[in-house]
Order: sequence, then C-alpha cells, then structure tokens
Amino acid sequence: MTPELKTPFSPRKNMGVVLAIIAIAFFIGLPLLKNNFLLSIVMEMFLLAYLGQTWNIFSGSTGLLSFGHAAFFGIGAYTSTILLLKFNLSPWIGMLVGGLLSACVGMAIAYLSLRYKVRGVFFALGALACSEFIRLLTLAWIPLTNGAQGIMIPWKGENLLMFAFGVRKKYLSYYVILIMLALCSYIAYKIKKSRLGYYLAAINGNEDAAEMLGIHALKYQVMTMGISTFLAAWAGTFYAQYYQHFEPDVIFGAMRNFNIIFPVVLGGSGTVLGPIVGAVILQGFEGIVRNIIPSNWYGVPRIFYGLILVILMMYMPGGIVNFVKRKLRHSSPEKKTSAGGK
Amino acid sequence: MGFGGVVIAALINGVLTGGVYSLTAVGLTLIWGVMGISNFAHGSFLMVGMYITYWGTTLLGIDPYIGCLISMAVMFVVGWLVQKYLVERMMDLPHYNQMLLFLGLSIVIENSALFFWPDYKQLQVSYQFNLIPFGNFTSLELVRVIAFAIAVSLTTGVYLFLKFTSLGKSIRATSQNVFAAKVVGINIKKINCVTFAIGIACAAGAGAVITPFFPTYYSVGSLFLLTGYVVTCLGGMGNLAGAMVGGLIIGVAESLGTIILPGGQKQLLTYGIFLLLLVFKPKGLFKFAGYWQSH
Amino acid sequence: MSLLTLNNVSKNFGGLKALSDVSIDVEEGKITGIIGPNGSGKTTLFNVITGFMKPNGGDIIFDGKSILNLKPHEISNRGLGRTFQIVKIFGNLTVVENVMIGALHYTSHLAEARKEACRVLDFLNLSELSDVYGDALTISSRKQVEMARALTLKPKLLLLDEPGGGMNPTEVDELMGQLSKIKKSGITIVVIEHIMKAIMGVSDRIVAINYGKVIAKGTPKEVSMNEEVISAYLGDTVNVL
Repeated sequence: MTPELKTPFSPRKNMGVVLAIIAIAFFIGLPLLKNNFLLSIVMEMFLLAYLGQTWNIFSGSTGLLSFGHAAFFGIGAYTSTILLLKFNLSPWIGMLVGGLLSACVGMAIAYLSLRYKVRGVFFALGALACSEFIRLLTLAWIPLTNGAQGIMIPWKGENLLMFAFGVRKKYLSYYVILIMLALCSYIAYKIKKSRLGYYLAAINGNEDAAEMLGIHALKYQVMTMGISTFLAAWAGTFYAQYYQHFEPDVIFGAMRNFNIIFPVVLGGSGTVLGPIVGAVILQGFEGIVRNIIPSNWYGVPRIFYGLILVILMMYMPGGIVNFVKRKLRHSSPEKKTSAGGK
Repeated sequence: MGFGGVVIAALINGVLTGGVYSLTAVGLTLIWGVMGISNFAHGSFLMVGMYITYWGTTLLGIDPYIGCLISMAVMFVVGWLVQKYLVERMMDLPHYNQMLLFLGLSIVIENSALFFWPDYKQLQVSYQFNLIPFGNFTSLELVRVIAFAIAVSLTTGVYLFLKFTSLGKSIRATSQNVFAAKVVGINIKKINCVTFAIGIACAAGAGAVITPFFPTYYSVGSLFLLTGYVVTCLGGMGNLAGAMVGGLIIGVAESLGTIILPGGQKQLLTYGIFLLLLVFKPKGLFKFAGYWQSH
Repeated sequence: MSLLTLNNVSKNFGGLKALSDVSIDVEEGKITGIIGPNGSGKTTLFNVITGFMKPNGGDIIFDGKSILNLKPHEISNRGLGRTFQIVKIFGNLTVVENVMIGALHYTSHLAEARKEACRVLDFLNLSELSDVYGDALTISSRKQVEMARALTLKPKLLLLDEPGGGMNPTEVDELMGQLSKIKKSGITIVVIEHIMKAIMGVSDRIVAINYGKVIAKGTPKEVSMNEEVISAYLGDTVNVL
C-alpha cells in the first residue's frame, strides 16, 4: 500500500510556492534599489530571523525553552573578534572556531540540565544562568574582553577575506546575511524532515513513550543543541564584523534573549517559516512603534511586546504559522474519529 | 578588626541577606510544589511590593515595616486575582507556554515601572543608618536585622500554617497528589488561588523589607528571581524547609564571595553555584526535609 | 525457554512495598497474562522491567542477559517493547507518523519507515486512521496505535498494559484476535488486563498478583480455581471462566 497523504498539486500549495518565489526575488533584488537605509533595516530583520531560526532549531523542536541563547551569539562575536585582533585570524575561520566553542558550551549545558526528570524548568534556568554567568564573566575579564566598554574593530579597509565589507559595499554584507538565513532555514527544514526531526517530535510528544521505542532522548536533545548553538555563533561574528563594535550588555543582555525568542514565538515555534514571519512582523512593528511613541517613554514598546506575548499564550500559543496550519488542517476533508480528550 | 573579623561580619551579613532570599524562594517553591508551575514573574511582584512600600513611606509617611504588611495584603489579593483569571486557564498547557506567559507578564510589569519611574529610588527612614553592635568587633545595620527578623517570621509562619491548619494540610495534600486531593473533595481551584496568593505575598514581603537598604528600581526583580531560583533548586524544588535553609546558604556564599572575588561580582558566584548544582546535585542538597514531594 | 525471568524482584516506595519477592518466568512464544486487583503492583512491575524504576532487590534477565540497571531506551533496543496503562500517544503526530517512530529504528529513510508503518497498521486493521492526529483519537484507538507503534520496533517481547482499556466487547474480541495474530508472528507477549474472559481466553499462562506478591501461577484454569485468587477478587462481579 503506497501512502499518499496530500495531492501534490493543491491550489493552496501552488499559491504558497508563487508567493515564496516572489518574496525570494524581492529580497535578492533589493540592493538594486540602492537604498542603504532600507538595506540596513532588512538586514537587521534577517539577523533577527537568523538568530530566531537557530533558537528554533533547538527550542522549537524539543519544546524546551532556552532563555540563554544570547550567550552563544556572544561567544561567536567575542571569539572571532578576539582571534582577529590578537592573531589576525580571518573572521571567516574565527566564525568556525566560535561555532565550535559555542557548541561545546551549549551541549554541556543541555547535557547537565536535561539529565534528570525536572527538565523543562531546569533547562530554561540553566540556560539563563549560563548566559548571565558568561555576561558577568565578560564584564569582569577585562584584559581579554575589555569589560563593559566592549570591543571596537578598527577599520583597516575593505578586505573580503577578512570579512570586512564596509559601508560603501553594504550589499555584500546584505547577501552574506541573506545566504546565512537561507542556509540556516534550509538546515532547519532538513532536520524537520529527517529521522532526527521525527525523533525530536516524538520526544516532545511523550518522552517516556519515545524512550520505549529505543530513542535516547538526551542524546538527540544534546545533538540538536550543538547544531543550534554552532549556528548561533555565526550570527555573533556577523554582528561584530558588520557593526564593528559591541559590548557585553548589548550582546548578552536580557533584552537580547527576549528579542531572540519573541519573534519565533510570535511567528510560530517549531516551524521553518515561523522565525521569518515573526521577524518581519516585529521589525515592521518596531518601525511603527518607534515613530509613534515618544522616545522618552522608556519601556512602552516593551510593554506592548509583553502584552502581545501574554495574549499570544492565551489564545494562539503556537504562534501565527501554527495557527494558520491548524486552520488549514481542519478545513481539508479528513475522516476524524471523535475527540478522545487529553 | 582582623581578617577573621571581616569574615565573621560577612558571614553574619550573609545570613541576614539570606533570610530575605529564603522568603523569596519559599514563595517560588510553594507555587512550584503545589501547582507545578514556574513563576517567572515572581521577581516583578517583588518589585511591585517594593514600590508599594516605597510610596507608602514617601507619600504617606507610613513606616516601611507597616508598609510591608500593607504590601503583602495588597499583593495577596493581586496574586489571587492573577491566578483566578489568568493563570488558571494556563494550568493544563505545556510548560513552555506557562513560562512564556509569566515572562510576558513580568515584562509588562517591569516596563510599566520603568515608564513611570525610570530612576533608582532609595527609601529614606530616620533609623536607616542605625547600627547594632555585635560582639565587640563589628556592628550590624539595624534595618538588615529587622528585615531578617521579619523574613524569618514570615517563612516560619508559612511553614506552620501549612503544617497545622486544615487549609495548610489541604495545600500539602494537593502538592502530593492532585488527583487524590480532588477525590477527597478538596477544591483545587481555591487551593491554587490561595497558594499563588501566598507565594506572591511572600515575594512582596521580601521586597518590602529590603527597601530601607536596597534601591528600588524597575529591574530589581530579575536579580532576586534568579537568586530565588538558585535557592529553590538548592533546597529541592517544592521543598519548603530546603528553601529556607538554602536561602541562608546562598546569602552566606554571596557574602563570602564579595571578599574573595575581584570587582565584587558576587552574582558570578551565585550563578556559578547554580551551574555547579546542575552538574553535581540537580535534585538539590536535601532529601525531602519537609513535607513536600517534588513534582 | 524462558525469555524473561524475574528473580525475587522487590520495589519499595518509602514504607510501601509495591513488589515483594516477585519471581516469574515468561516462556518464549507464549502469551502470559497478568491479573490482579487495582493497586496490586502490575504496572509497577512493568515499570521495573522496562527500566523506568529501579528495583530495590532481585534481578531481571531478558534473553539470557541481565537488564537490571539499564535505561528504558537501552532495554527497548534489546528487543523489549511496551505500551502504557495511561496511553502515551504522540498527540502532535498523525497515526502513521506515530507508528513510523518505531520503524525509524531500522532505517533512517522516511519513505521506508512510512511503508513499514503502513504495513503494521494494515496488520492491525488501523489503516483508516493513518492521517488522524494522535490527540484527536479516542482512548481505545490510541491504545491500538500504541500497540502498532510498539510492533514496528520488531520486539522479541511485547509488554501490554491494559490494551483493552476503554473498549466495548466487540473491540475486545478483535483485540484478542490481534494478540493471537501477534503471537503467531513469533512475538512473546505479556499482557496485563482486567477483562477476565478475554485474558483467560487468550493466555497460555497466567500470573496472579495481589499486594505486590505473586499469589498464583499456572494455566488459566488452574489459576481461576486457586482459592487465594478467588478471595482476592471477592466482591468483583466478574465471571472468571
């Protein structure tokens, strides 16, 4: 018997593909408009989406919230930059080193927090504690990291091999982050449609049952954390090279952690499109909010975000993409036995 | 005062601060033990307790320790309402939804405070700088001693309430087995409301008693939240007595840490302890010293 | 040949003795039924065998080797499958995806796993439900899917904890037919069940447990005539034969 779940050419799918092609073409062609300001905003959005996607690779598929993802972003930024400034090592290589370091830390945290049954909370707190620990360490270890002042990368002229693109060739940085986002999303998609993805879904669905099917939950969770944190470090290197300056409180701060999580939760965690959708909405929202609300009304934009989060959790806990998916699922003709309840 | 004196002074101050940590953690661990939810907004409620007390004294001239009682009463009611109308519907949802809900709540509360009062406020009272001599080599700040006394009274009060009153017993029963509690006729919704309210009141109380010596500002909550969780984990999630003792341990550790660590980054020590706990003793140091079963 | 042997297994929860000196031999290729009143320790027994709980004493030997301190995934890797009394379906996956999880143990190709999953669903007459999400199923359907899922792991021994829960008599008869089919395919079964007529009818041997102790072992007929078993069930309006 050959399983055939959906007809391959449904009108909905066609429309989705067309929309996707238009969006991709739009983003690839954006630099042609020669509007650097627009490019900056979209790049910020891409970075947000990228970081969210790396978080999503772990937290979205395991259902384990990490409140400390900024740590890995920061490890990437600091590692590649310190290697650049001290050893003149190209940030492209520094990116890989940062990624490896990040992955080691991430996997260690995952392993330590997930060993025992009280997983969800322990892990969230462990990740947060780790992130804060690294932030404080960075602030204190002045000879290495320059403490609270942060690190400034001196401009030595344009050099593609050293990941230095400069303001005049902003479109190069743009394409780098665009490719990174595409790559990361592709990886997220591949994981979902692989044995790993299915195993993670099973562990998320019911860990005991998954264990009884030969699945070593801890192994797969730690593995996924490694992938997630490895990729997150790359964003740190990009940030460092693009902005040329960064400091601990911006890189590792609580707001950074929130900004990573929020777009994904809004867009739909566990889906590949979720982080992207969330980043787009949030960036747009940021733009509107910054224009409407007076800048001395500190904290007001975040009050909105907090409220959105609360309302989201009450009415649309899966985020936008999952909400839409559920609606599509119910509207397609399917034979369903009566609800068994939970 | 030789080095020994410095250490002893640090030890005692650590215990005094630890009492407040205990109070914070007791609220957290109670909510976790009975309801199975992690209240990430606990710190924010602590902060609100601080502000209520601060404005009570600054605007109305009420002594902060009376303000503490008012604060706790107000936040008890607030906690009840939050539980009844917001949290109750989240009880059956997966953990991460609950965590995010509380995160959102804490962001709303904290940034509202930021909006209204962006600056650091320090409460002033007449006896703020009074000292009590301790032995013949050091003296303690009166306000810290009072804070400790109140915190310990409150945690002991909660402990006794849970041990001896019938409502307390119902709460403990619920923490052990919700299903059985339901079968025996306990009104779980009411228990949840009371528990959450007590937890929040504890947070508010902890905030209130430190106003004379700790600055009041919008993000003070996050400091205590993380420390509170470290204490809760140290004592064992859901273990009330463990939280009480754990708070003192963390207080002392932090205090000793300021002597050893450069730059006074005592938080580094706290988080370091937490990470060590995760590595070596994730279930906490104590084995059910109290009447609680961890979820 | 004994596929699973329990030697003097004990399990305490604080002062409560959930299992005392339980010794059982499970013969390969046969269906062994476990009966006992509620709270007698049957599910605890399964939990101990499958590594979710550590026994306080005794040994557990599966396929010639001790599985005493192994974790659940290690035990299931050795060929021991299990369903749960409180059914643990993957609510976030469809039925066919649920069953694929077991099949993915043998292949990393999703298409192959799907084929195998469909085959097993066919075997148990569940193909209709393939695309229904786990959380939309009735309890009895969930139990069936859980069983299918365990089968894709190709276990040597299958532990079933109240597979008939929530089923009407017709469904129970169908279930018993399925168990016979599974037995014929070479899988050893140990099943906990309350529905006496069904379990007595399909089992080759029965083990009766009360208060954590084995009170009788033997053929269904022997056990049903055992005085201790009868008195343990006194008050239950159940026809034993």
